Amino acid sequence: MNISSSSSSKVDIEQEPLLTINGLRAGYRGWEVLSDINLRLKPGETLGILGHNGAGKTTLLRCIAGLLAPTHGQISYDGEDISRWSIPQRVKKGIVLVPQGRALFRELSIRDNVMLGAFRKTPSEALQAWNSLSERWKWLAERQTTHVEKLSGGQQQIVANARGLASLPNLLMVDEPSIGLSGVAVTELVEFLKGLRSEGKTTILVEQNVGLAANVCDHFMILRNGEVIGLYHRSELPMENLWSLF
Amino acid sequence: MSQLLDIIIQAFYTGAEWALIATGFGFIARTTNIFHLALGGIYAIGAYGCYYFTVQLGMPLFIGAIIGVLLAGVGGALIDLAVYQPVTGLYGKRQVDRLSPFIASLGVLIVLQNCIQLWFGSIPLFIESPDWGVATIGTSRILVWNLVKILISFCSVAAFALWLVKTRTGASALALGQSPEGASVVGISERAVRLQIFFATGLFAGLAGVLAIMTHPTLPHDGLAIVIYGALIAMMLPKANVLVWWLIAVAAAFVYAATITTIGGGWHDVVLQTVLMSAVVILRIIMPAMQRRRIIREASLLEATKNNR
Repeated sequence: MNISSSSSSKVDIEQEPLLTINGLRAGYRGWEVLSDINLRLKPGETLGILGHNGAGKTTLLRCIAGLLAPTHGQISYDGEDISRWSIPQRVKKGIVLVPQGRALFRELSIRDNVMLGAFRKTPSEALQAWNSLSERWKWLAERQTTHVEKLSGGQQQIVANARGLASLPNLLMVDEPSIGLSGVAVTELVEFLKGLRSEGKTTILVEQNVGLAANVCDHFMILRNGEVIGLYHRSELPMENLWSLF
Repeated sequence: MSQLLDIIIQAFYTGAEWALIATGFGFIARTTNIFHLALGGIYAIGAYGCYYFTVQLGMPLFIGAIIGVLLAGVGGALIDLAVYQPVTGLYGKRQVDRLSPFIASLGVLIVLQNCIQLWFGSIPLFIESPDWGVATIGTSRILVWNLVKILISFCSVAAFALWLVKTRTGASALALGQSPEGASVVGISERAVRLQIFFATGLFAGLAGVLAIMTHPTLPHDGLAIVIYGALIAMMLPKANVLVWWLIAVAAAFVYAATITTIGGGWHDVVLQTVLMSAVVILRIIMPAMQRRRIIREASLLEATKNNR
């Protein structure tokens, strides 16, 4: 992996990156939030993006997912320039975001929520995804007709994760999943994210809970005011003075 | 007793028209947050389209009716494409402003109604409904056509309800209404789903117009009154199943028919509008406020009990 906020970039000849971002700039209504972001993420890697509120973490994920159009720069995925692709095209290609706040369909059932995650798949693939996910989380099948609004925060996060996985992503991005969760739910979440890493799923995690991120990610990108101020491998992360890095 | 039965029957066939408009209006409000008053103009497109092809061009009634309904569906989709989407923007570029689409909708309604009036004049028009005889229910007699009209309306709304819960496109429409961001991240195309919604609800409004012009003389400006009734019906229980709206429409039409019989003149409109507005205020403002107050009271009682212990 090679992540930087400058034009310098190391060349990794071992494996082609799954996601490459070059000189990305983006913002809202003329206000630039991200400036000159560069990133190379290889298949199977787990990247944690850390930073204070307003650092640009969510904006970066939104650009990759296609929810926000960059003002400059290029996003390539699996060797193809996807900068101008629509969101449905990206989802079809396997780029999936589990957004902050979960954005679930609160008045639909658990099953409908998860099945809609596979909206860009064929009905039989969607059914297959549901079967495999309800095997993973048995209670999903047991309470499949329950409306999502009746679930606890932790359960809603699991439904959001399941919805993300239903589309069989190649790149899964999870934005602030631990917000509002109890200790038990956070433990479950950590297990889920560790499971993704052991399955070799390429994952980007945006998280304010540094301990959680440190537990599940291989690489870390630290953002401040829309710029990358540091990148670390798991073994290099200075846990004792991590907050001072921000 | 016989008069009551007459009123109930009349409520069903008047409510059948209103229910179609309520379904269209309510579903658009639920999924896109737009107060689609232009549905009144689409209603007129359906009615006058059917009139044009049937009476002026001499096509068979059935074909004229289908063309009228389809024209209304296409009209609905075009209004979204040409007016609402540029005004509101799609998710990600949306301007948070509910007034602009409302004003745009009002403008479209006025333009559509006036264009139709310029073309057809301001004389009420009527298409003779098929003569399928008269049926007797108890002591009341009803045209078989009116029974068919009730059936068409109910089956259309029931089919729509089934489409919503049994198909992926139906579920995606509901999903869009509940979380545009969630719909985006799973790959639902807002533009495509909206076009389907506006087309389907346009079909409903067009069908209401076709059924209306085949039942009673219709004016280009009748759409506004019926869309207001539809809006009030849907606003009572905005999250309800569309079949519940169908039943509320019949109940509202019962009040309308009963007041025509007992009060007469133009007063029945005033009475119905007052009843509908009161129902909306009770269901949407007073009852939720009472519920909130009850929850607060119960919470403070619980707190007090804990403190006493």
